[in-house]
Amino acid sequence: MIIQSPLKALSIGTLLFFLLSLPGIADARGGGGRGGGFSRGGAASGGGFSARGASPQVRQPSTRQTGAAQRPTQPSTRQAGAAQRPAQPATGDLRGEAAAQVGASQRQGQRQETATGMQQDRQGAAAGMQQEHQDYRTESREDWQSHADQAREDRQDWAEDEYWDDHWHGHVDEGEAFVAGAVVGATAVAATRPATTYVTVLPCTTSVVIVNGTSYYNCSGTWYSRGYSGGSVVYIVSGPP
Amino acid sequence: MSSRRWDPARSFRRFAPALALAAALLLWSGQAPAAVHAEQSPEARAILLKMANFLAEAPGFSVSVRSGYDAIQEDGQRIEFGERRKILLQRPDRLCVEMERSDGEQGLVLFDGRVITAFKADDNVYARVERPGNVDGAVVFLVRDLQMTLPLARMFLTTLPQELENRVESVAYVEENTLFAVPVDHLAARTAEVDLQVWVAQGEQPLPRRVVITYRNAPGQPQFRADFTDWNLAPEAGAADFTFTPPAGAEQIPFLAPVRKGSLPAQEGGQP
Repeated sequence: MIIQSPLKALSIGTLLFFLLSLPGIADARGGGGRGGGFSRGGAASGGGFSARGASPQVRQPSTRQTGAAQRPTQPSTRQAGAAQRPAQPATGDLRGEAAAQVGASQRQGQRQETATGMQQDRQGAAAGMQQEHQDYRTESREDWQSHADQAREDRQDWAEDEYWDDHWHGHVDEGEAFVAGAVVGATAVAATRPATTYVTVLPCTTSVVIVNGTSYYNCSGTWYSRGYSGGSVVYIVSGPP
Repeated sequence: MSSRRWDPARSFRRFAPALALAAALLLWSGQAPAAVHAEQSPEARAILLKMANFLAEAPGFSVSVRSGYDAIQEDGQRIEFGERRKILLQRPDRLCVEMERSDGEQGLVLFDGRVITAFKADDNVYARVERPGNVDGAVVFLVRDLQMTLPLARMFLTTLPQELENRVESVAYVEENTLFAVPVDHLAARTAEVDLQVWVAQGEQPLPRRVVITYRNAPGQPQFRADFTDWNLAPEAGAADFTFTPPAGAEQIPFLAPVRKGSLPAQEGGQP
C-alpha cells in the first residue's frame, strides 16, 4: 500500500499533464479545418539544385543596393588616410628649422637663410615629387578600387545567377513587389512602378466588388485587388475601384 | 588483503595499450566513411553526363513527375507534402506544365515562345507576361524572377551538362538497381550545398527515373524526391497545347515579382 500510492499519484499526475497538454499540442499544429496548419515551405519545397544556406534571407536585391550605396565611402576613407601622410615629412622639416633658430647668430642666420632656402627648394621639389607620387598612387588606387568594385559586382552577379533556383531563399510571405514586365491584355493593374504593397491573407472578412472584370476587396477603407506571386494569389493594396 | 585492493593507476597502466588501440580504432572508423564519400567514379560521372546530354539534346519530351518534399516545421517536426506534374516540352520555345498539389490545388503554366501564362484553377485567375525567347530563358525567368515553383528546373535546360559539370564535386556509383521497370544505375553525387542521388535508366535512353536531393546545410536536412514516369521523347503536341484559353469567368491578374536588376522584360512590345 505504501508502494502503490505514489505509483497511483504518479499515474494520475501523468494523465492530467497529458490531458492539459492536448490543447497546447492542437494549438501548435494550427488545428481545425481540412488542413493541419503545417507550413508547406522550406528549403526542399522548390526542388532546386542550389541552396544558399540555412535561413531564408529576405530581399536580396535590397541588400545588394545597400552594399553598392555604401561602397563609394571606401575610396574617400582611403583618400583621407593618404592625404594625411604628406604632413609627416613637413612636420619633420619644421622641427629642424625650429631647432636651428634656437642657437641664432648672424652666420647661423645666414646659414639658416641658405639652409632654409635649400630646404624650401628641397621641400618644394619633395612636395612636387610627393604630389606626383600622390597623384599616381591616387590614380592607381582609383583604378584598383574600380577594378575591385567591378570584380565584386561580377562575383555578386555570378552568385545571384548561380542560385537562381534557390526558391526558398528569396521567399517572402508579404511585403512589396513589382508588377512583372508587360502584363498582356490586363484590364486593370494596381500599380506598375514603384513597388506595390501586398499581403498573402486579407486582414478582414470582406465582400467583393467587381469593376470592369477586376475583383476589389475593402478592409476598413483600404482597397485590395489580386496579384499572382510565387504561384499563389496575393492581395495588392490598390486605390478604390 | 591489501594486495587485492583496486589500484586505479596500476589498472590504467595495465590497460593503457588496449585503450590506445581502441582510441586508434575509433579514430580510424570515424575517418573511414569520409574516405568512402570522397571516392569518385569516372564511370558514374560519365553516366550522369550522358543522361544530362541526352536530356539537353532532346528536341522535346513529355514526362510525369510525382514529387514529395520535407517541410521542416518550427518545432523540428518533418512533414512530407506531395505534388504531381505533367511536363510537355518542345524545343526551342514551347512549354506546358500541369501541376496538382497534394491538397488538391491545381495550376497550369504555359509558354508559347512569346508569353508566359500561369493559371490557378481554384481561384480561377490567371496572369500573363511577355517573355519572348526560348524555353531556357522562360524557365529561368519563371523560377528566378517570378519565383514560381518548378522543381528540378535545371534538368529542363539545354545547359544541364554544363550545370552539372560546374556544380558536382564528386560522383559515386552506388549500385545497379533492379526494382524499376528497367535496370537503372544508382548514382550519388555531391555539390557544395546538396547531396544528389539519381537513378538513370541503362541503355540507349539514359533518362532519369528518380531524383533525391538532400539539403544538408538546411535545418533538419530536408529532402526533395521525384519519380519520373511515362517518358515520351516524341510527344504529339500542337500549338493549341501551349495556348491558353481562359475558362468562363476567369479573371486576369498581374504577375508580381521582386525586382532584380536586368531581369524584367521591357514593357509591351519591348525586348527583355
